[in-house]
Amino acid sequence: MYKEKLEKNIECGSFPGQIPVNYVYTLGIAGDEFFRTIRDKGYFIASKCSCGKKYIPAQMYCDECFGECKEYVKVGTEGELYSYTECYYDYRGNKYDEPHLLGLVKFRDCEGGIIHRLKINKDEIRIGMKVEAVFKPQKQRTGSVEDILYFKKK
Amino acid sequence: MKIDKVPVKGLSSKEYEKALKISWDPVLKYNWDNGKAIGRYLHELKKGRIIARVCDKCNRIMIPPRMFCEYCFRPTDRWQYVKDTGKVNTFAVSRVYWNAQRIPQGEPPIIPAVIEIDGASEGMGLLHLLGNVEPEDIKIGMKVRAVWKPENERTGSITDILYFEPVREKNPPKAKPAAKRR
Amino acid sequence: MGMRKVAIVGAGITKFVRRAQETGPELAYQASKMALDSCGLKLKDIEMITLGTAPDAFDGVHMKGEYLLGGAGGNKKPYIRNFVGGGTGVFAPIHGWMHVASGMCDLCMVVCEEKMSSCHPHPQGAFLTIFDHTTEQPIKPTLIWIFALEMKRYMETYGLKPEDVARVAVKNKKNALDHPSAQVAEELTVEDIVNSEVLADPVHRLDISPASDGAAAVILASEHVAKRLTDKPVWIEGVGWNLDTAYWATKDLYYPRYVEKAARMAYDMAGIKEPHKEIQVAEPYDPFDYKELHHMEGLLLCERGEAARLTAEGYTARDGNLPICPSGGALGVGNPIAATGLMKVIEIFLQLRGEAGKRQVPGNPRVGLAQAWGDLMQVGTVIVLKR
Repeated sequence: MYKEKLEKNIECGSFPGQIPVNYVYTLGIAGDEFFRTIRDKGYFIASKCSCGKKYIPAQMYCDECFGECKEYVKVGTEGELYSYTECYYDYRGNKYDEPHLLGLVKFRDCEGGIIHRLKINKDEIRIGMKVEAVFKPQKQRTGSVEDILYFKKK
Repeated sequence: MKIDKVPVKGLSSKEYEKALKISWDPVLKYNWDNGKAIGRYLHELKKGRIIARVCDKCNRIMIPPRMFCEYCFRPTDRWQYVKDTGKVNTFAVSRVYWNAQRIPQGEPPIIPAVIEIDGASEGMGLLHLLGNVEPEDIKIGMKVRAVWKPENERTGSITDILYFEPVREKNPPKAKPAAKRR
Repeated sequence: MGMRKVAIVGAGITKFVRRAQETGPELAYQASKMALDSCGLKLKDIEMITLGTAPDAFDGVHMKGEYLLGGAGGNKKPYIRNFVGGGTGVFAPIHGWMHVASGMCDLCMVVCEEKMSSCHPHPQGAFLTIFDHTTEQPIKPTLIWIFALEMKRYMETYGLKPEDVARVAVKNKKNALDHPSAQVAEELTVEDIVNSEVLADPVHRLDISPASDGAAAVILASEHVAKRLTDKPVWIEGVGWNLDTAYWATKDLYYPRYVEKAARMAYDMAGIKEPHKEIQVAEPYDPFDYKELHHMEGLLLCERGEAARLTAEGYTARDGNLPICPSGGALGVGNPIAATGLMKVIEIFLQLRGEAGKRQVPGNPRVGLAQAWGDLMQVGTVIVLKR
């Protein structure tokens, strides 16, 4: 684009920097219910809209009719493996010592699902299998997705 | 319609404490390519000089330098050194750091200023700091000069200029009424 | 120009708060649902959705538009986020206006959301990243600084004292006492403002609007649909937006020329020749008190340098000749950036319908204006409404 060439002996170079802020997110109206139940009771709940739709993780509004989901119903700990993958690298590109199994678990009659680690023998794993959440001991639970250790074969 | 009731309550400190939260400390680091104009600019700062680019069509002498004129929308034409002196266009006396955290009592304020650099086109200002001056002695329009880091400490950054300090004169010029500029 | 008439037919807004428990999508949902209910519509009636939200760094969510999608009712719809920094809240309805005026759809929902409380240690920190990464960020600037720099230059140019500017904060915070969404409504004196903590002289803590969480939404309709939905449509008669250079330190800080350009664009479209006579109620953007004055001048609502005097004379009070920020503005209602701009549009909508309750300005206004501003002293967005 420019007629001139780069001046000799001058490197354009680059300038380092970072975005130095951090965040504290509230889990929200429905999120608070959902994760508090995991923490205190060790099972999943779904939020339910008056139109009948249920959501896991619980969400405050219905994607279908845009009504407010005011009811929460117990779903338990058991779901169905919708899909899975075997991961060799973490999000920064470092290789895992052992490959990680990661799955999307769906729950009966519920929209949504939970993505989490799986602890299932590779020769047993199949899409559609019944799985069950294994939680940390209650005292160690804080009300986050990390309260779930993994899903195992039911 | 009437809007007299609105949803959302807001949390008191106590309720906020109780609410479930999750925190995230992102580590996102960047290396921003300087490109030609800023690359040269930083290179010259390291040498203790300020360099501008000139657009021969609108005759603007521009800092920070840029390889295209955003008004004429054509490549700029040449490099030109400008002075490391200027005048204060405006300033503030800050008791807060960049993240709005307070500067501790007893520590001097930070004095950011827009400085119109001598030799650049009128109104070409830089954001920098003022130093070696009491806040109450600063006037808009005041002449200032760059105080540079020692040469061996310069890294090729706008912070190679530590701050601008007043050029002390007997009769400091009065603030000029704002003139029309493009 | 071959464009269709567009009306605002419904509105919703949350309370503006320091810390909401609601997530961003939940805030957006509350405002959207209220807007739909206000004009008896269901989400399925809405054909397109436009969302306004300011920098991703506030909510701390990359791709914030997509994150807010569900709460803004955008699932499986033509949905798009728009963004011009602090100008977003008035640009969002302009964007929605394009959808309807062009004939692309008859019903468009406009949603604006901001959740600033997630950003720590303070949302101001996120502003560091809007400065040039190489030539400015190393000096560690904050947005408060550049407001202070602009305010100083403005005050110097017209010989204003802190008290002249503080009257805006007093007025707006008091007006906000009547706004159900208000976060920092209070009856204060000029002395309270000028004696509040100095953050960056000349800016005191009470010269500044707070950081807030909140959301707002409006429903836009084409003419034939609007007339079916309401007997009091408020028409979008003029829109304008304009951006000036990112080299913010190289321009006249005492006068927002880009706001004037945006205003002239909107006035031309609305057929307004003498804005200071024809605009009957206005909501210019007031994140800092001097900005209201700055913007009144940029919007040609008064002569340059006159805004402070007019404020002192009560000209801009709710019962004055030209009520400015009768809502209470960002200074009183709060400032969840994008939602603030839309709050201002909603205020004019209500004022023109005569439905602003205790905030209602006298004289049955027919023509009003809302304006937002943002980026690095860069953008003006203006909307002119008529009934």
